[in-house]
Amino acid sequence: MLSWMIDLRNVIGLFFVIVGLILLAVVFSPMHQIVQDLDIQLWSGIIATIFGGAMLASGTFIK
Amino acid sequence: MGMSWVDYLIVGIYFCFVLGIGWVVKKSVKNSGDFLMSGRSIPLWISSLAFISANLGAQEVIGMAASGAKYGLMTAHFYWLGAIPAMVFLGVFMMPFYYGSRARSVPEYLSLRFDEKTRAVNAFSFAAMTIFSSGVSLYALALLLQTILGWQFESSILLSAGIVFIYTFLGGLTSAIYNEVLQFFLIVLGISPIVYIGLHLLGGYERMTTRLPEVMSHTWKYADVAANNPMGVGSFELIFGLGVVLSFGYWCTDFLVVQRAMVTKDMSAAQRTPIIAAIPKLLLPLVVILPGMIALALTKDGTSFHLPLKADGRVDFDMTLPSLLTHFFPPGLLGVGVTALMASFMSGMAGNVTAFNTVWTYDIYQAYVKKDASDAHYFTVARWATVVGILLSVATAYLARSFNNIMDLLQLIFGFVNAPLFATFLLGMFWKRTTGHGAFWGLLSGTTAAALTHGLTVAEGKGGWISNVHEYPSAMGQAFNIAIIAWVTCLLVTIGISLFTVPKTDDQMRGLVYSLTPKQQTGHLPFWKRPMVLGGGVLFLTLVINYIFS
Repeated sequence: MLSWMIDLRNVIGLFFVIVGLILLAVVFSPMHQIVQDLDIQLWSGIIATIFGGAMLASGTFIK
Repeated sequence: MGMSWVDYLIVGIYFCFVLGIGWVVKKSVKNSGDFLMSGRSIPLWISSLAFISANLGAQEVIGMAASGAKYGLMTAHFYWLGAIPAMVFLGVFMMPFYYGSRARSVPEYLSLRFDEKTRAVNAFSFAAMTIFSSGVSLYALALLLQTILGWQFESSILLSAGIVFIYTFLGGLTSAIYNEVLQFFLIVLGISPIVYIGLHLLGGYERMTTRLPEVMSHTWKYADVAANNPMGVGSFELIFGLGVVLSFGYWCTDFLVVQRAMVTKDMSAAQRTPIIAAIPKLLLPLVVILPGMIALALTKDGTSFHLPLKADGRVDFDMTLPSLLTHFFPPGLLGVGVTALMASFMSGMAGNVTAFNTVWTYDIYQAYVKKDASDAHYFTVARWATVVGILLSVATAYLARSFNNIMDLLQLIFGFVNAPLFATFLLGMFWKRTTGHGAFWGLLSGTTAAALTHGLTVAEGKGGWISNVHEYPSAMGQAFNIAIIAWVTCLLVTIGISLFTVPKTDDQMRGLVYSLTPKQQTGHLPFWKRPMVLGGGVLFLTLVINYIFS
């Protein structure tokens, strides 16, 4: 576990996956807001989750 | 728009990660080399991102957005004219000496190339400057948290300094570097949405520029003479003052940034670190300068957003970015944006503290207090230096709060010390006749020339404490000219004194001077591993971008 976490890609990946999922959860809550016709929470959540997921995958499977 | 619980949750998660990084990294820190130099084992992609993040502190993120709103696209000269060529020069020409000499710091290189007195000037001024910068970062963060979150100044200082202390004390430089990389992605992902929202609201980049004064949407068109642009600088000051003296002086000699390249695992990675870092640096104006231009355009476009004002009714440019975030970001995203700002402040502080403890341990304590102690002893000294560095930063933050003018004065004095430095390194690395006496007196003369020029000239009511011989149209123009005069003075005095003093022997300078260092053979390597080819490509891209936005 410790060596997995020493790979910075996993740390960054995990952080952004969590943040992305929080943003996506907000979309389904009363805090959801459309800003200037943009669902910025949804798109930011998707981008953060994908970015974090990609980092996690590279940190876990590419050595 | 205030912070909701979900925003605080994101801030809290960030704090947990930052502390977690320190805790995890601690397991691999076993000696002073691990703590201060990351065991010289940092991978290239991490060192490259840390290289730009070390400079992407609070003053940069908040300051560049402020300058974007104040000066427009000309602010990008700090990147496309200032930073990139200097970073390429560092990678291609200077890193072989820094890394090849096995020096552990920039002041140590000066001691190897010149002598102890030249090292002392650099080490002491750098140590003082890092504490000062770290304290200013802390002060600015506390002020920001007080303004946008309503937190108390004291609590903000203690919380931020406490967190930075824990992770730098536990994991040393590696911990600081890892957090810098996390901070880089946070800044990009946390601030980019504001650019997207702003441009969407304004109808795209082209339409945004029609809302701004013409002079604000060009980099070069109005840069010919000082009177034609809001920065108040002409092309000579811009190219020579910013593009050569100040930028090369900072990017090629400031240990805070150079350290990120010096801790990589081999020479190839050390050389490529600043060059690869230059690629994202090329695009950073989109994230840090464009929001300022968007803020001004939104204000002029009659939208609900207006540039923030100070109590006296003048525009508070420094609050441009925080105002944009709090105005447009919905719950969740506001937490990401605020976390990005906090990360930039805290990383700025951590970067300074880790550079301070290295220079303190190797270049002051080991050089002048206790020369031949065990590694365990220096490891302990380094840890204590971290404690002292944090405490001094807190004290500096309080000093900044009480005596704002003293901080301006200190900043000015450090500027005087830094301006001539690049001349010393340039001569030291590329002219083997340069002597220690020449370097030492050149540095002192350059600093004196800078102080005298400031005392004899005035800009925006600043300077002229001896007499008013000349008035500059802007403080920036004055700063660029002071740098040019200091640099030229240092160069001439160093050359003059070197010609009348005895240089080191060739054997003593092998690996430290261009003409006495074997040239690396890189022809057999693929292009992405050849610093010269990579650097050429980056410079070409820089030229293209300069042309597009000219």
